[in-house]
Amino acid sequence: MGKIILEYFDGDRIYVCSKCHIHISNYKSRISKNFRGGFGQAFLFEKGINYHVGQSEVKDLMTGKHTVQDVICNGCNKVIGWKYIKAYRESEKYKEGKIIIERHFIRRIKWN
Amino acid sequence: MQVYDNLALQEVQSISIDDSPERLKEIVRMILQELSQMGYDDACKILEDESQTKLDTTQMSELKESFLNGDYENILQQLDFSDMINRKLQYEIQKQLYLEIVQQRNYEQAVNLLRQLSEFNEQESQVLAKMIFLPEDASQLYVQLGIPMDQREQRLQLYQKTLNLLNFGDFSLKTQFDKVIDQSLEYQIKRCPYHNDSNENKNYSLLIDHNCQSYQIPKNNSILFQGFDDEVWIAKFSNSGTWIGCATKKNSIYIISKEQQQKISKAHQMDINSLVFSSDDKLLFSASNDKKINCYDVQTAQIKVTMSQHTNEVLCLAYFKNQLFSGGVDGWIGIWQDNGKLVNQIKSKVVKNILLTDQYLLLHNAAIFSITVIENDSKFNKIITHMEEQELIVSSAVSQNQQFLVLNVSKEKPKLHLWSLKTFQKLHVFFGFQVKGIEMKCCFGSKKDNYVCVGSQDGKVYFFNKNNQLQQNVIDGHNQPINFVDWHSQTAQLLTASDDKTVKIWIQDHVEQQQIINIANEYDQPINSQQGEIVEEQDDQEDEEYQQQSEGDQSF
Repeated sequence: MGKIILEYFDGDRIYVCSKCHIHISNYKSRISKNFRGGFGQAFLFEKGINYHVGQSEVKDLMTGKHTVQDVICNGCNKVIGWKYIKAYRESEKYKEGKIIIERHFIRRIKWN
Repeated sequence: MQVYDNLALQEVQSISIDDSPERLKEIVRMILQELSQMGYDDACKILEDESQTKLDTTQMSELKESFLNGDYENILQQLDFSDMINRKLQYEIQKQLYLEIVQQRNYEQAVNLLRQLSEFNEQESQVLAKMIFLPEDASQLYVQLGIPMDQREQRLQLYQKTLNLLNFGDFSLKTQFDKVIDQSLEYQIKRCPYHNDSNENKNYSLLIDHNCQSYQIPKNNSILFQGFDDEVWIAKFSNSGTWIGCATKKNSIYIISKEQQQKISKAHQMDINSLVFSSDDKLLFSASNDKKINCYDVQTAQIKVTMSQHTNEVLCLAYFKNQLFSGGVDGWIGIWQDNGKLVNQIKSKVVKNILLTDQYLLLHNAAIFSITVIENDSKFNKIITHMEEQELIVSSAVSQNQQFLVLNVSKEKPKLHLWSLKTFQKLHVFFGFQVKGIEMKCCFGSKKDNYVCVGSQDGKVYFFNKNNQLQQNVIDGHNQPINFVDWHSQTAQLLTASDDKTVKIWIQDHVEQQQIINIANEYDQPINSQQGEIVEEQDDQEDEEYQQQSEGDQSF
């Protein structure tokens, strides 16, 4: 398939995929550590790089009904989190367009 | 391995050769006319006798005489053709007559004639009318009409015009030889993208199906290397062209030359990002995502030293004047000596590629869409400019003459941007090749860096002429995506590395038979002995490479 085109982050405090070490997001983009996924703690990020999304589904989460898409790492093709497309409760609208990455799947690099 | 020039092929196939006797006669008469114009009368006579065709200049010269003498009545009597031509002819001759009458200040007659003229061409007649009433502006009016001032010249021009109007029979000889050449040259210059390159000496072909500069394109596959353990991601020539360094998806490095092929399996634990040879081709350096830089001896393929000072992925290497430059995610660029000693560090952003010229250090930034240009002195702290792009720069290359930079900006749509390193302006955009999310290397090539070359998702190699934005050539390289192209300027060889686990060498000259070389697995257990066999054939095209090889030996 050839070497895939990867993007990178400048600066410190970057989160990378635990398996293939490609940059996913960074500290600046992290909004909250207070989420839970299937594998434990998860972080909410404003945006990320080097991922693609799967099919959008309507799911009932702990916080209500949402439309979400799987977030899949470009390097190893593993599902590492999900992306909020639409929130049906007003109080959850702030999440729309943002991504959740489970802590289990990422590592920190350049952290001081 | 086809050279595409479809348009030309179609055109040529549609033209049928006309060898009727009339055509042959015409050709002879064209030659006769040219000869007589050049003054070779004797040759003319001989040709006339042998070919039994006369130029028949007598009638023509009589006609010419009548024109030059202003004997217009006679002319109109002699030339009596279709109504349309008659009318036009009449107009032209009357116009000339009018001008001469005005010259003689015979205004009454002139005005009468003017009335007739205005029936045919109102616009010009108005200009002609001014001749009478504004004699001072005469020269200006002549220019407006496109007629020379001198009477003899005028009559000559009228003669030519008449000839142009009459295009059949004995008077069809307006197709003069030099006119033919001029017009076909113009046509070729308009049509052929190669012709327009003013740098080359003007050896233009006039034929539609000529192969003008495409001889510069290395379109013939001379050698095929097969037997790599996986997709080949990097394949680079050494500085002299005798060695090839390759890296595959399985993180193996191959060092290949005409005589020997060596494999270093599992050279790194993770993806190999870059390979460079030292200036004397004795050492091969490799940089990988496993944060290490390895140094191998080219002859023996043994590892000499490992540099582990980087704390994050090392994305690129460059070698310049006995120093190795390395850059990556760390945020600093390391300058090393051949023995692996780190001598200097330069602060930078995340760097995807380092390019060095005599004047500049160019840093291809991975996170921001730009190239930072730093002055190439020993300190590297003077930033000259930033070359900004709108989207992610995938790969970059500098031309041999260090004047140009090409950037592969193919994240959204596959295209290449050509920049000048003198003015730091974007010059051209090239597109036409295909990319689907994988890195394709682009490079410059051919003697004057005329071409930009890039591999494509569909296995073709695209060549773009740097001076001329028309897409030049496409060759069928492989049947799977081509990851890396390297064009060696001195030996004029092109190297292509592909996902189909092969590497091919291409040259300009015609190749009788492709040479297939199987890569011997020296550090791996061969499964069957056939894999270790190296197939060598006698091939004259390889003489060039043999010479290079011997030069390399002397330097050792």
